Amino acid sequence: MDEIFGVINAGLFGVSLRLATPILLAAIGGLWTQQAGVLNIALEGMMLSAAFSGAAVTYATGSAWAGLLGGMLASMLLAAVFGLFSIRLKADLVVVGIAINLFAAGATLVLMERFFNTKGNFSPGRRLPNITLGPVRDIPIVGDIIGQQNVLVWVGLALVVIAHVVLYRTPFGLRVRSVGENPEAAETAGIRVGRVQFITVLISGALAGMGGVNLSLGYVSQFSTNMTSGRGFIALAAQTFGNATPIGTALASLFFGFADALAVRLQTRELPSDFVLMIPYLATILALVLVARRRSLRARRQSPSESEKPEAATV
Amino acid sequence: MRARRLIIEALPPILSLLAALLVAALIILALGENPVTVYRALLFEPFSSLRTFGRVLEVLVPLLLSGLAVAVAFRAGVFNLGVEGQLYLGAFAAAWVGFTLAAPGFLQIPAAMAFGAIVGALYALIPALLRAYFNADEIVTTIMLNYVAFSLTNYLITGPFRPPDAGSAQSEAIALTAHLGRWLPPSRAHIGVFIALALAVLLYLLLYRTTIGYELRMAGANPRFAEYGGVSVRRTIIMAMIFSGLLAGLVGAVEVLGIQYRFRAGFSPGYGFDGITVALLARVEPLAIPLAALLFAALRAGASIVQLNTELGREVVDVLQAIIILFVTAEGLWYFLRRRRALWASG
Amino acid sequence: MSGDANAPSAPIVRMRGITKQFPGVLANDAVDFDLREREVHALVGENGAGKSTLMKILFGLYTSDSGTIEVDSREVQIATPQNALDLGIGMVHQHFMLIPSLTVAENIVLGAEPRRGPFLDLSRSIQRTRELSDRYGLRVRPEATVQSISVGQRQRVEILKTLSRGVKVLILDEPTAVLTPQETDDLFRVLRGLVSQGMSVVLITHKLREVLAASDRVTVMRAGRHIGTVDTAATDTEELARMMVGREVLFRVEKKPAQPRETLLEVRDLQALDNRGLPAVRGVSFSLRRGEIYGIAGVEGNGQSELIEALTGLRRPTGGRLLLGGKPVEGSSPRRLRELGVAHVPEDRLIYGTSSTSSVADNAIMGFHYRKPLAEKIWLLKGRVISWARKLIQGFDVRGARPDTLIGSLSGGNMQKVVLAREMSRQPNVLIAAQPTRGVDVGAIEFIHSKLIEYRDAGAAVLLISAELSEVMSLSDRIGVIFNGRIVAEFDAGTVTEHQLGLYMLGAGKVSA
Repeated sequence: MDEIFGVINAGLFGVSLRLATPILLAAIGGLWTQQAGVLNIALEGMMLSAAFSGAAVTYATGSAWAGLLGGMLASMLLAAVFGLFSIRLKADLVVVGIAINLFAAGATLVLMERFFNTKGNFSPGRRLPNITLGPVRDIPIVGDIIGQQNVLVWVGLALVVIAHVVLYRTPFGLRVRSVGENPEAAETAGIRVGRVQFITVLISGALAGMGGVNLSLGYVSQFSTNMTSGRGFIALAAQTFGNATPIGTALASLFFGFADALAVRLQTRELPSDFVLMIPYLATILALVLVARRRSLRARRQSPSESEKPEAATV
Repeated sequence: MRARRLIIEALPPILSLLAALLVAALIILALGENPVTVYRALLFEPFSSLRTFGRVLEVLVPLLLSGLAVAVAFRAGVFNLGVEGQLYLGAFAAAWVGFTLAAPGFLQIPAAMAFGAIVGALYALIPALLRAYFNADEIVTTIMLNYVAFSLTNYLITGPFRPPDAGSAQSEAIALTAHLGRWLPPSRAHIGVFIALALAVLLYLLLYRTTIGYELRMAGANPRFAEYGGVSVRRTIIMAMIFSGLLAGLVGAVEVLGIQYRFRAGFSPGYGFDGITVALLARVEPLAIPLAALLFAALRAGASIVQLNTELGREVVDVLQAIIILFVTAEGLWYFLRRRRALWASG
Repeated sequence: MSGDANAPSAPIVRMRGITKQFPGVLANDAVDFDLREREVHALVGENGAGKSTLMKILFGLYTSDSGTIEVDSREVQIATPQNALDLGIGMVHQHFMLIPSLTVAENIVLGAEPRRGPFLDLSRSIQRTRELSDRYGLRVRPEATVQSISVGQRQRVEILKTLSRGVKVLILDEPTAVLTPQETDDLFRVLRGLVSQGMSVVLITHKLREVLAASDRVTVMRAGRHIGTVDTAATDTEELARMMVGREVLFRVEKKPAQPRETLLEVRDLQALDNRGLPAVRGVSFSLRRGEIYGIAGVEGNGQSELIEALTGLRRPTGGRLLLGGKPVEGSSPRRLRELGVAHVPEDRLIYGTSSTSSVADNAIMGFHYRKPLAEKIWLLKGRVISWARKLIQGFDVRGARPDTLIGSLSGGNMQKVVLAREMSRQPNVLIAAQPTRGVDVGAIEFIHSKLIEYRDAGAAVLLISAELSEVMSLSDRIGVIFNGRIVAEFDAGTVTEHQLGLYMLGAGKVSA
C-alpha cells in the first residue's frame, strides 16, 4: 500500500491531466452523439486515423498545426462514413462502428508501410507546443499540475466549457438534446432528426481527431502501430459514466487519466508491469458496472418506440 | 425451389462483396498500385499451388472457429467483441497443458483443447454475467477485457511461467505428443481443419436441432416473444456467451497445438475480430461460415503475396474486410441486429 | 367542389381514397375524409379502426400507399411533419410529443427557437409562451420542466406548442384519455374558443359522450374503413354505436348455451403496477369456469394489459391471489403457468405473440419446444416440428403458409391464426385471449370466433379481453366490465345491453343505472 501512496503527489496529477486529455477530447466528442441518441463505438478508429494522419501531415508539411488539421479532417471523413452508413442507410450502429475501427487499424498500417516503409513507428519531427505559464510554474502543486501543459490540454478544458454552453444555451444544443431524448417528438417539432445526428457525428469526429492527434503530436512526436490501444472505448465509457454531460464526462475522463497515470508510475516500481497496464481497462469496466444500473448503453441502442413498449418482467 | 431460395439468400452478400471489392480497388488505385495484381494475389494465387493452399488451410482454422464463436453470440443478440482476448487465454491454457502435462497424445491433445476451451468460456462468462445481472453493456466490457487478457497472458509468460532460456515473450514449447498432426506438407496445415469443420456442423445442429439452440435463436430474434413463451432470456444470454467463449478458447488452443507449438505474445493477427467479418458475411449461418472463412483465409494467405509483389502491406486485407462489413450490413439484411421499427399503428 | 350544397363552408382538408397497409394489418382502406373550416370534427371508432393512422398520414408521420390530400382545394404532398406544419396542420398526440427534461418554454419554442446572437433567447421563449398562454386561455408555467408537471398541464403545453406554429388545423388524438372529467370540460371550452378564432379541429376519440358534447360533425371509422359522416345535432349515441361496432351480420356467432363446470381460475383482489410503477390493476376479482367464455369489456388503458401480463407471469403481481385449480400460482414464471395449462393469445402479436423474422414452424412450437413430442432430451426433432407446424397450418386454415415461411410475410389474420393454433394446441385448460381479432380481416374474424367457441365447448375456460364491445357481447357467456383497474360490474351475456355495458365502461354505471 505504501507503494501506491508513495507515488501520489502533485506531479502525478499533472501526468493525469496530460494522459486524460486524449480521452477527454474523444469523450467530449462522444457525448455529442450520445446526447443525440447515437451510440458511437467508432471513436477508437477515428482517433487512430487522426493520430496517423496528424503525424503524416506534420512530416510532410513540417507544421504540427497542419498536422492537427489533417488529423481532424481524416477523423471527420471516417465520421462521415459512419454517419452515412448508420444514420442514412440505417445499418446497425455497432457493426458499422466495428468496421470503421477495423478500417482505421488496417489503413494506418498500410499507409505507414507505403509511405514510411515501416511497420512499427515513425516520427513526424515536430509536435504541438506546450503552453508554459511562467509565474504559475513556481506555485507549488498548482504549478506542477498546470504550469506546463500541452496546448491541447487547454483546448480540451475549453471544449468542456464550450460543450456545456452550446448544449444548454443554444438552439442547436436544445435540438440535440431533444433528438436524443425523444426523436419522434423532435421530428414532430419540425426538426430533421437525421441531420442533427449526422452533425453530432461529425463533431465527434473532429474532437476524437484532436484526441488522436494529441497522442502522436502532443507530448511525443511519434506515431506507432495501434497507438490508441482502446482509448476510444475508454472515452466511450467516460461519457457514459459522466451521463453524457460535459462536466460529468470531464470528471470521468480525469478519473481514467488518473488510472492511466497511476499505471505509468507504478510500472517503474516493483509491481509487475502487466498488472499495472490492466488498471485503466479494469477501471473502465468498474465504471460501466457502476453506471449500468442507472442507464445502459443498450437503452440508447433501442429506438424509443421500442423502449416505450411494456418490458417483460423477468421473474 | 430449394435451390432458387438458396440463390436468393446468397445473392445479397455476394453483391455486397463485389461492391466492396470495387470500392477497395479504387483505394488501391489511389495508392498507386494495380488492383488486378492485388486481387489476383488475394483471390487466385492462394489456390494456385498445394503449398499456398496449405497456407490457406492454416489460416482457415482460426478464422472458421472464431466466426463460429462470434456467430453463436450474435444469434442470441449478444455482441461478443472479446473473442480476441478469450482466444489468448485459451491459447495459454492449452500451451500450459502442453508443456506441463506428460501424457500420450490421445489424452494430452483433448485435455489441452478442453482446458483451452473452458478457460475461454470462463473468461467470456465475466461480461455475460455483467450484462445479465448488472446490465453492463457487453460491447465495451468485452473489448476492455481483451486488453486485460493481453496483459495477463504476457504476465504469465514473463513471470511465473517464464521459460529458463527465454529470449522473447513466449512460453516453453509444448510436448511433441501434443502436436496436432500435419497432413499437407510442406505446409503447416493440420487436422484442426477437420475439427473446425465438424464444429461448424455441430453448431448448426445446436442451433437448429436442439431446444437450447431454439431458445437461443428466439431470444436473439425477439426477446419478448421468448420471454412470453417461457424462455429465460437472461439464462439464454449466459449460455450463448459460454458457447462463444468455448469456441474462442478453442481458436487459441488449436492454433497453439497445430501451428505455434508454444504460446507467443501477439501470435494472433486479430483472428477474434476477423471472426466478426466472417460471421457477418456468412449471415450468421453456421454452415455458410466455412465458406466465408475460406474467403478470408485466402485473403490472409494472399496478403503475404501482396506484400511481396507490391508496395502494400498485408494489412490491406484489414481495409478490405472493413469495407466488406460496411456493405454487408448496409444491405439491411441483418434484421435481428437492426433496430426494429414500430410496426403497429395504434388507433 | 361545389357539389356540397349544405356545406356551411368549403372543406379546408379533403382526403380521398387513403389506403395504408402495415405488415399484417390493413390500417386504412380507401378512406375519404373532409374537414370544414371552423368546425370541431369528431373522428370516432373502436381501437384499431384506423383513426390515428389516417390523421398521422395527414400530419406526415406516415405516408399513404395511395390516395390524395387537398388543403384549401390544392392537392398537396405531405411527407414530413414539417410539410404539414408549413401547410398549417398541427397534431397533438396521444402520447405527448414533449421532451421531459426541458422546460415548458423550451418545449414550446423547440424547432423555431428565438435567438439572441448565437444563443437561445430564454426570456423571449418564456415571453412567447406567456403570450400564447394568455391568448388561448391555456394556463402553464413556462419555467417548469415538463417532467415536473401534471398530465393535464402537459396536454396544455402540447396544444400550445402546436398553436405556436400558427396552425389553422388542429388534430387532437384521444386528448381526453388522460384527463379528469373537469379537465375534459375545460379542454372542450378551449376547443370552442379556438374554433371561434378561426381554427378547425379534428377530435379523435372513442367516447361517444364526448362526441356529442364537443363536436359539430362526426365521422365514424371501423376496421380501416370510412363508415359514415353525420351532423352531431342529427344523431344520437345509439346510431353512433351502431356505426362504430357494426353489429349487423358481421359478428353474429352461432353458439350453443354454455355448459359451465367447475371453477378453474380464480382471481382474488389482484394488484399490479404499470411500467411507470403506478397502480394499474387495483384489486381485480373474478372466477373463470370450464366450458365458459368470460369476457372483459372496457375502454383500453383501464388496466387490461397489466392484468393479462399478471395472469400470464409476464408481470409480477404486487398483491392478491391467483388460484389455478385451487392452487396458488401468483408470481409463477411464464413457463410454469404454461405447464399448468395457461395458454395466452397476447394483445400485440408482433411484440409478444410472434417472432416476425422467424419461420412459421419456429413460431408454432414456442412453449412446446422443450417437451415431448417435439423434443427428446436436448434434441428438437425436426420431422416432428414440421409435422406439428403442418397440422396447425391445416387445422387453422393458415393461407399461404408452409412450415418454413417467414411468419412476418403473412397477413395479420393468418399470423393471428398461427398464434391461436399454437395456444389452442395445449390441452383445453385456461385460454387468455386478448384482442384476438385486432387488425384481422373479416373472414379470419369469423373463423377465430368459431374456434374460440369450439375450444370452450371442448371444456376450456376462456378469458376474452377485447376493446370490441360487439365481440365481447357475442362471444361471452358472462361479462365483467373493467374500469380504472377494477371489475366494476358483472353481467350474464344474455341479459345485458350494449348501452348498460357502455355506461359502466365509462365509469358512469352507478349514476345512471
